[in-house]
Amino acid sequence: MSALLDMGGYGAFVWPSYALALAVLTGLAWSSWRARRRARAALDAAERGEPR
Amino acid sequence: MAPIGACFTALCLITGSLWGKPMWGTWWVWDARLTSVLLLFFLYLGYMALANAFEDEGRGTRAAAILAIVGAINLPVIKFSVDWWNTLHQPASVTRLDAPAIHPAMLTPLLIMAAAFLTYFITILLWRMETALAERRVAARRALAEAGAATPVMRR
Repeated sequence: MSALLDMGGYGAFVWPSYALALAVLTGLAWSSWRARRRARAALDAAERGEPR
Repeated sequence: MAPIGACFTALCLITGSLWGKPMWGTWWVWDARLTSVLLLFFLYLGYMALANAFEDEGRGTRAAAILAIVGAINLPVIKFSVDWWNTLHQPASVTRLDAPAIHPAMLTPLLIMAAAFLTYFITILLWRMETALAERRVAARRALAEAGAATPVMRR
């Protein structure tokens, strides 16, 4: 386990890379997902608001 | 699309720096490849700033599109930077005329990860396109409603 964490002495460089990639990719996905949900809700409301 | 590119480029620069410290002995050098990728990152930021800088959305996207076309010149520069300027960064190791210079133990995970990043990119791109389309439809409805209020005869 500690050998895995150590990464042959490069643990201090390897794990921050993973952590950063995970943080950036989840952050981007989350904000894109939220914007999509909000835009869909706005469109739904606009379409319900003026039935023609 | 630009925010995804900016995120990928930032990750590339920072994780590359984390790799460079133990492998090259330095976080950063003004090497041709590193500098041209940094320029790519700034182009993404400039694109996003320009696209949102105008009151009229159409003008902003048009100006940003011109920047994107001009900025595309940077892409072959990045690709061939390792051949044109013989600085610190190693030459191409995957796309070579002969076999890739990477050991399969590293090449296989690299290709799997490249595929994963590509599918991630496509997924997020589709979400963002859906968002943009929905926003445009709402805006179009609003414009139509305003025009309809001004001239009552106008109907869809």
